[in-house]
Formats: sequence, C-alpha cells, structure tokens
Amino acid sequence: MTTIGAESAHLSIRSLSKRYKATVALDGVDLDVRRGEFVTLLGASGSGKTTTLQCIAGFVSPSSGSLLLDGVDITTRPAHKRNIGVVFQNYALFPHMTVAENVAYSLRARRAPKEDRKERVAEALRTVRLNGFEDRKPSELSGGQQQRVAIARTIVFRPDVLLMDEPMGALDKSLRESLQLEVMRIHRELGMTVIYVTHDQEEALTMSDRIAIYHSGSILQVGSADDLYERPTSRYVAEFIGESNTFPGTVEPGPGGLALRTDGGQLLALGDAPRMSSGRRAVLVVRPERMSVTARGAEIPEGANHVDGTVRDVVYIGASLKYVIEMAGGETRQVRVPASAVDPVIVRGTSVVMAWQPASGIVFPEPEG
Amino acid sequence: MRRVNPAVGAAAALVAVFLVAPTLVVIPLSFTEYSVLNWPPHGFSLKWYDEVLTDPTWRSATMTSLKVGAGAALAATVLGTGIALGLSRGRFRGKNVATIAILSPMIVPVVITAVANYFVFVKWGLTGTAAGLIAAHTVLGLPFVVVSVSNSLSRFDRNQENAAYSLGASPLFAFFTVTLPQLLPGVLSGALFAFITSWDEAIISQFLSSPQVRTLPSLIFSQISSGVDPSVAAAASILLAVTAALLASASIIGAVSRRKRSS
Amino acid sequence: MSSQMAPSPGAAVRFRGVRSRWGALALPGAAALAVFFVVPLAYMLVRSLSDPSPRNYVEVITSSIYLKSYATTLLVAVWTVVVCLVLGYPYAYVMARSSRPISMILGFCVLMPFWMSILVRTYAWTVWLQDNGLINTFLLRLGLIREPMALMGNALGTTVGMAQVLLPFMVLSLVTAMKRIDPALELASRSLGVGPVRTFLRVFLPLSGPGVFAGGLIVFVTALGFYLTPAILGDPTKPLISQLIVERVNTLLDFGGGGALGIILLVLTLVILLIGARFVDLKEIVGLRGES
Repeated sequence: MTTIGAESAHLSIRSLSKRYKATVALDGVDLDVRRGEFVTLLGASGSGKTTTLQCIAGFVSPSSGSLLLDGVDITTRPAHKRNIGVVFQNYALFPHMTVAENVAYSLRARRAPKEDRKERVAEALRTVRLNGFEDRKPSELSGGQQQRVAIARTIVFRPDVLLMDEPMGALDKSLRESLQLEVMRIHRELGMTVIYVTHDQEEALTMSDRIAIYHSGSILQVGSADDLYERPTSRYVAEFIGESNTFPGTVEPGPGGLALRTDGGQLLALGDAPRMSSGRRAVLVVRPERMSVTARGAEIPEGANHVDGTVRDVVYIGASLKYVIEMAGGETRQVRVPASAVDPVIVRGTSVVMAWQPASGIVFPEPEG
Repeated sequence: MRRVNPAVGAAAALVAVFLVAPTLVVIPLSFTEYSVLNWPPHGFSLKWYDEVLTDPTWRSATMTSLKVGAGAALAATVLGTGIALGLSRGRFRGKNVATIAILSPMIVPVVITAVANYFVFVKWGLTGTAAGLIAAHTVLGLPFVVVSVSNSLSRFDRNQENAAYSLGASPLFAFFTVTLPQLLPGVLSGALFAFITSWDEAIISQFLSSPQVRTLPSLIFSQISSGVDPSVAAAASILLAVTAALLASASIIGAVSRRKRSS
Repeated sequence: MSSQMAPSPGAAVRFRGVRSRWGALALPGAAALAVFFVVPLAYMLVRSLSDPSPRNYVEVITSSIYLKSYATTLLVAVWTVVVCLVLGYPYAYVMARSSRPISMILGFCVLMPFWMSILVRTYAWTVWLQDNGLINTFLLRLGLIREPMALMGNALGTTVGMAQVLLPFMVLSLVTAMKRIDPALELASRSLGVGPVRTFLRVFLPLSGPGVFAGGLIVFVTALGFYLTPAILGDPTKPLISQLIVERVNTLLDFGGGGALGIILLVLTLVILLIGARFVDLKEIVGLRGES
C-alpha cells in the first residue's frame, strides 16, 4: 500500500537532490504518485517540500536525480512544456488582466481557437463557482475568490498534474475549511493528479490519499493518514503526526520477551517483539487515547503496562477529556478519554495509574553514539 | 506630531517662492509688445510666439530638439530597460561596479562629457548631425531609465513569470504578456525623463550643434549671449511648457500605477 | 527557504530557454555606454597627455590663471552649499513634518524646478538681476538706490543662480533623511521636559546629519562642474574651471590643455564622491531603492 510500482506511477521522483552553495535543500527524495492520486507533502518550513514542488514544476533545476512523467524523463524539460499546473500561495494572478483574461492565459499561450477559449473559460469558472466575475480585476476580489481564480486558471488547460503550494496559507480558518472541501470536490470531479504542499497537519490528514512526511530535505515516510498515525516508522513521524507520549529507556529482557527499562526505573513490556538487542537505547511511543487512567489502587488489566502519576490538569476537548499527568520526577504525559467514559472520582490532584496494552505502544531505536 | 512652528513654516513658504517664481517671469515677458526685453512687459501680444514658430531658425531648432529628444528617449528606453533587467537578473561578478559605471553619466560633469564627446565626434564626423546628438543624449538619459525600471523590477514578483511558464507560456511570451506590462509604468516614466533630459540639455548641444543642426536650448543659449529680444522669452516659455506637460503626464502615470498597486 | 516559490539564489539556469541569459540583455546598453561615453573620456585622457605632451598638466597645475580659477570655483561651490543648506533645511523640515497636502505642495515646488531646464531657469535670473532688470528697476523707483547695483556678472549672481538651481538636490536629500526620523523620538524628548528648541538641537538635528552630508556632497560636486549658470550670470574675468575648459576647447582649440583641465575636474569630482561614498549610499542619491 505504501509503495507502488514505478511502472504504474503517473509521476515518479527518483533520488532528487538540490544543493545550494552551502546548504542541501533536498537530499535524495524518492516518490511515486499514481494517476488521479492526491498526495500531500507535509513538513516544517525548510524541510524541502517546496523545493520538491519547484523541481516538479520546472522552476528549479535539481542538482541530481530525475523526474518521470508517464515514464518519460522530464528532468530538463522547460517549465512551459511540462503541462503541469501550479497554484501559488500568493495566487500570482496577473494584476493587469481581468479574471477572464487570467483564466484564458494558458489557452492564449497554447494558441487555442478563440471560440473554444470562451467556452472553456466559462466552464472553468463554473467549476470554481465564480461565473459572473469574468470582467473583474483580481484586485477587486477577496482572498478566497482570488484563490478560486488561480485554481480556475490552472485547471482550464487540463494539466497532467496539479501542484498546489500552501494554497490556503493566506486565508483565515473558516474560509480555508470551505475551500478545502472545494478543492477535494474539484479533484474528484476532474480526476487530476494533485501534489499538495502544506505545513498544516490537519489539512493534510483531511484532504490526502497519501501524505509524504518531510524532514531535513528527505521523505521519512509516505502513507495514508491511518498508516502514518497507526504505523509510524520513525519517532519523528510518530511525534509529528498527532499527539504522543514518549518513554525513553534501555532495552532489556523482560518476563514475556523484550522490555524497556525507562530512565525512571519502570519496566515496560514491548508489543510484537521488535528486532533489537539488549542494552540498546530506545524510545517507546504511546498515543494518549490508547491509555487508560484509573485511581490508584483500582484493578489494572492483565498484562498491561502501568505508570504511576498525579493529575495536574483536566482539559475538555470536544467529545473527549485530556488528563495531564505528572510522573515521579516531574515530567508529564497526556491521556485522552472519551467524555462518556470519564470516572468522576479523578480530579486535579488525584493519584492515578496510567495503563496500556503492550501492543498499543511502538518502540523506536535511538540513534547510536 | 503634525505641528510646525509658524516662523519655520513662513520661511519654507518663502523658499518655495524662491524655487518657483523667478523662473516664471519669462512667461509674462514673452507676451510683451516691445522689441526689447524690459520690465514691466508692455501690452499683450503673441508676436514673439509667432516669430519662434514661423522663423526658419527657431522652427528648425524646435524640430531638431523634438527629433533628437524622441530618438534619444527611444534608444535610452530600450537600452536602459535591457540594462535594468540584466543587472537585476543576470548573474555575474562585479554587479556593484557595473551599476556605478552605468549611473556615471549622472555623476560626471556635463561639461566634461560634452568636451569628450566633441573630441571623438569630430573624428567620427558626428558633430553637426542629429545622430551625434542622439547618441550623446542617449547616454545621458540612460541612467534615468535604469533607475526607474530597476525600481519597478524590485517590486515585481518573479512568481508571476513562474505562473506564466506553468501555464504554458514560453519565456518570450511570458515576458511580453506578463513582465513588460507590469514594468510599463517604470519604463514610461524612464522614457519621459530621458526625453526631458535631452529636451533641456544645452551644453553638449552647444558643442555638437552646427548652424544647420542645432537644438532649441543651444539656440536660446547663443541668443542669450548675444543680446536678447523677447523671442528668447517665448522660446524659453515653450521649453518650460513642454517639460511641464511631460511631468504632468509622468505624475499621472505614477498615480495610476500606484492606485493599481494599492487597490 | 521560504514556503513561497520565490526563486532561490543559485536556482539553476540549466533549462533551455528559461531564464538563461538575462545578463546579456545589458550588453547593448553597456556597449552604447562604452562607445559614446567611456571611449570619449579615454580619448580625452590620451589627448591631454599627447597634445602636445604631458606638459599640459604642468601648465594647468602651476599657471596662475588656473590656480585662481580653482580657488574661485571652490569658493563658489562652498557658498552655494551654504546657501542651499540655509534655505533647504527649514523647507525640508516642513516638508517632512507637515500634513499631507502641504508636504505635497512643497514637494511639487521642489520637483518642478528639479526637472526644468537649467538654461531657462538661469536665463530667467538675468531678467531679475540685470542693471535694468526687475530688482534694480524696483529699487530705483522706490528711490532706495540711485545707480543700478551690480547683481550679476559677479560671484553674487553666480551663487544666487546656482543655489536656486541646485536647491532641489539639497532638499530631496534632506527630506529622505528627515522622513526616517521617528517623530516619537521628539515626543519622547518633549515628554521628558526638554523644550522644543533643545529637543530640535539635541534630537532632530543630529539625526538629520546624514541628509545634510549627502545633500552637501551632491550640491558641492555638482557646483564644481557647473557651466551654464556661471557662464550666464558670472564674472567673465574670473571664470570657473568649467568655463576655462570650454574656452580652451571652443575658442582656443587647445584640445590638449582643455582635456587636461577636464581630467583634473573629473578626478576631483570622483575623488570627492568616492570619499563621500564611504559615509553615504550613492545609490540612494541617484534614487535607486535599497535592494535591487
């Protein structure tokens, strides 16, 4: 599921690297994208996601590596011959042209017949629900409307691939949400391959078929939202996506296989026996909603890991409740419980036990040395 | 804080008068009926304008000035826009030195430029020709175009071009449909300033003119040196009027492009 | 790297056709500049050394006519700077600190003459300053004087004319510097109980220093090479350097001597500018925005 064959890939990125004088912006990125797929590049700013997009668009030439579109190498093909559409964060609408002229630009550049143009412009504007705005100038539109024009301008020439560079970055939250739905609808209707760049995790999780997590110029993991959340392959991804509790320690043999001796001294059982040798430094990651909280002294489920603590804070978040629990030594961990399953005895200051099944935790080796 | 001491304000008003008023005196003078320049002007007559516009010497000087100004402005605009683009986008060493070199015609005293041009133009047979005047005035106007277009370029968003490329525009098509239209206010005001520079220029013109080919300022200058009749005042007024009209259009271009940017 | 798609420095140039050779666009203009500006100046240098010999420079540096002319030129330039500063400072202050309509009117009054023909502006002064000009006529009628005063044909005429012609340069430099002074600084000083005059002397005046320097530099350097105004309003028996250059070349056809004098004026101008450029940004003087 996480990897697809290069043969069936619509766009294929092969060990793409980009070095500027002193810095490495991209360090060997590999990614295969299926036709019609919605893939999001997610990462902090400076992680290389925008550079990847610029390489695909042809605005930046990679230092090494290659790009294949339908199996054809387009690494050195100039931007205007790639048939790849780009939607920019600042929209980059042409300020001296009307909405209709903006949308018709790609048709003009391709010398499409005049009668054809009008029809296709109207169709594109219908798709983004902006018909009637043909004669406005971009400066007379709101931010959301400008972004719709930018989308119309790009989809009108039916590009093979649509690149979107933080297209919602400049919009406020409610507008962003409605435009997200809009983009998803357009993607469904037109069936285009979309590569979407964002640093907004929620946006990525809502919109994408698959997400590529960027870190320091490389992709750490590619997968569906579920994959990344349930089966992260690195501590960075585990902590980057969603909330997580971490327990650093040293691997040692335990009662039922390998266990982790935390730096606080507890022995925690590890789930499906990971291939790690005794004495190795490692970190155990557990999602807050996979843990339970019970008052000290209550019964703990058979075979569960458990850590003592004191409730420092209780926070309501929608339909669930978050406990902030301080362990011996002062560090805190979080536990999330559905509001329906809350034990009213547990309040701020209650001595509690956090517990979870070993299979709910994921263990990652720490880098050696 | 928007308060200015009234005495300082009055001083500023006087300086404003000192800046503007002395020059304007030529206008009433140009309408005098007398044939000697004397104050106050006597009566009202258009005969000196009639003289400037019909007398072959004045007429041909006006035509030469217009021709040279237009030629120099055109050449300076094309070459200067190229320089501005090359300086801001090209990648080469010594950009700062190149910038100063290109602006140096603004810095070198015009007398020296005039004398130097005269030396070589004599050898090249360019003295007394419109081509020679155009060449010299082009160099003089170049820095104004470079400065004006460079300032437009620094406001221009390169993503505009990337957007055009991604939409299938070739670099050339993108330049003419996206880049140039947005640089146009800078290019046009550069062109206007280049024209005004040539139109007002007297020293180089004095050196390079011949009795057959001479510019309006050059003719005014020699008339001033050799005793004056009011036709000089009329010619000077025409010179001022043309400059004022061009400046007005430049400020309209500026206002329009500012409004476009801000809205 | 920003998340916007701004082209990064060093973004490669390898795609055929796209943003390949922007630098080449500067070449035709650079060539024109070389042929019609650099070559003539170089030829003038050659001529000054070889027509008839480098002895041109000995004469130009030692002969008393020239030495007097250097002194006159420097004196006129210094006076011009002083007059421009005295007139320009309050003007620029009001322009920088008053409400929008007033500062726009003042801006208009300074930019209009800035672009107006220097020749016409100088010529207009003759109407005022001649023996039978406006000022003398007026004073004679009032009976304040019996004989016309000599207002032109001397250093007074030159200085008045040059100061008026160059005043816009001074004002524009001053205004640029003064607009950078945060008005809150003056308010802060006043709120600390310092009076308006001392606030001006202690806060505003020192902060406007760069503008005074830049304006003084540009006016001084321009005044050194000024020709039209001294030629029309000045004393023909005490010519400035520029007038001597024209006389050498035009009247005496002494290309070598005129060239040598021109080179000396050029070197003087450039040296002063280079020294000045250590303290102010020359690009700003010519109106080029900070980055480009």
